[in-house]
Amino acid sequence: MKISIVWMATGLSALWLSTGQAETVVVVNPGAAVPTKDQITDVYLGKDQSMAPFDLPESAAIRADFYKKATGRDLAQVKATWSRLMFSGKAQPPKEVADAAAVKKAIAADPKAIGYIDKSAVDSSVKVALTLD
Amino acid sequence: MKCNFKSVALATALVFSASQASAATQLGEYVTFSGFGTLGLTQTSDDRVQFARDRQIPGATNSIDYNVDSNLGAQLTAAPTKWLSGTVQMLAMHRNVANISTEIEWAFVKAEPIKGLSIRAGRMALPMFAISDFRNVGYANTWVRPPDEVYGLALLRRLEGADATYRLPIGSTSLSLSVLGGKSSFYSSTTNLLTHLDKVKGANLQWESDWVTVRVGRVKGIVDLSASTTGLKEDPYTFSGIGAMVDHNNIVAQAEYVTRRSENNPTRIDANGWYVLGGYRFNAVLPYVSYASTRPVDSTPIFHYSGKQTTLAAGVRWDAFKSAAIKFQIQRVDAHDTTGLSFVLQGTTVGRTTTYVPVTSPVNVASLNLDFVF
Repeated sequence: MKISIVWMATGLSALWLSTGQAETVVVVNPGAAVPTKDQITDVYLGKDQSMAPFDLPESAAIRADFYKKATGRDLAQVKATWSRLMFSGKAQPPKEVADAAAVKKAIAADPKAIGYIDKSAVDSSVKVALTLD
Repeated sequence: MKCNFKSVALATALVFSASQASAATQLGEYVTFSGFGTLGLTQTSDDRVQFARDRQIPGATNSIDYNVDSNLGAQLTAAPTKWLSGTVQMLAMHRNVANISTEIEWAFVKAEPIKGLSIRAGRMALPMFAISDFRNVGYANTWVRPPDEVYGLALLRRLEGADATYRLPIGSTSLSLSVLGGKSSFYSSTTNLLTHLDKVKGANLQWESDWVTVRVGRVKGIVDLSASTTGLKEDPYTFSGIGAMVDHNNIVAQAEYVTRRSENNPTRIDANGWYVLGGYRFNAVLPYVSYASTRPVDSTPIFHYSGKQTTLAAGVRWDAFKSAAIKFQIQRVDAHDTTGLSFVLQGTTVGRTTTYVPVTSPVNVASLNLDFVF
């Protein structure tokens, strides 16, 4: 009985830690040069077009978290920024893919690709360029 | 036509703001479809004059009008390689002819032969202002519509030609220089003439940091007057502007100053305009105020292309949906006993002389807009 309570407490705190400390990481192709934080900001705001950025769906909480930490802007501001670039023919917004697995697949296939995923999803197919917290 | 447009705009707005559609849809591997639009309602306090944007006819009066700001744009971009792309943008809106018309705003091919350099050829917006190329995209802007005192002065809009832009990163900021050349034209609903401009050339310099953008630019062209009754063959035209935009710590600010000059017809053409806008972002809600002013350089012309006008406006942008924003704006437009700039000209012609009726009292205008992207 005592043991099960301890286990439950451990389980709960593990759960608490995993949700409370979810870390977003920016990932690139293992063979690519690591971009600076400024460059990552510029890529995701359309100023730097030397990389191919990927987005996760708007329904994923990680997207808002990533933009807030990487660019200091909320999703509505980011969308207004991209609509300026898009409807003046200057740049196309990041391609949207379904989940972390799709981000990793796209990055493995393209040395210029860049994306963001939860730290727990990192594996050898990608390289961590920046940890956002 | 008007009804069709309205229902299409409304249906699109509802579908796209209700769904969680993101901006831009991939069509296959190389083609992206995206669109934008505004459903705008405008009402003024005065039924004696018609309030319009960019010389539209007719304009809004004291019954609710859908035509001032409503528009619907669709854009296709094909990028078969990383350095080559093609863009076509169609835009339906109320222009300076008496009904809604759909025109090709953009049709250009863009090449990026080396990093930082982009070359475009085809049809595009003439970069006369800080936001020339997305002035019709309500969602991309803070205000309900660009201040006519500045954006209504240009006369010309499009370039048929080519431009080249080089972007040079300087630390965490960047400097972009762009040059352009080609042809342009403008249609005047007052004279019912389409006037052509040859030898259009221009240059723009823009410096951009994380939170501030400063832009200075000039466009020149030779107006072909051979079809006009002025007796002049041509007229060199120059439009210059300087502007700055700030978005920092939730403070939003924007200001521009422009001048319009003609070599052979200065008493009718020469004018200056400026505006300032300031706002503060409280999460999804952004209240703002703006003041805009224009005046002809020669204050006593018989007829001027634009009169004296000032506008004080207050409004709020609310990012209520994921891909749509609601805006409300009230403004007081004062034409100072001239024909102003934002009012449909009312003239009476006796012999060869047309006399235009001045706007003698300030007009209040209220606007409620839904801007969306898809």
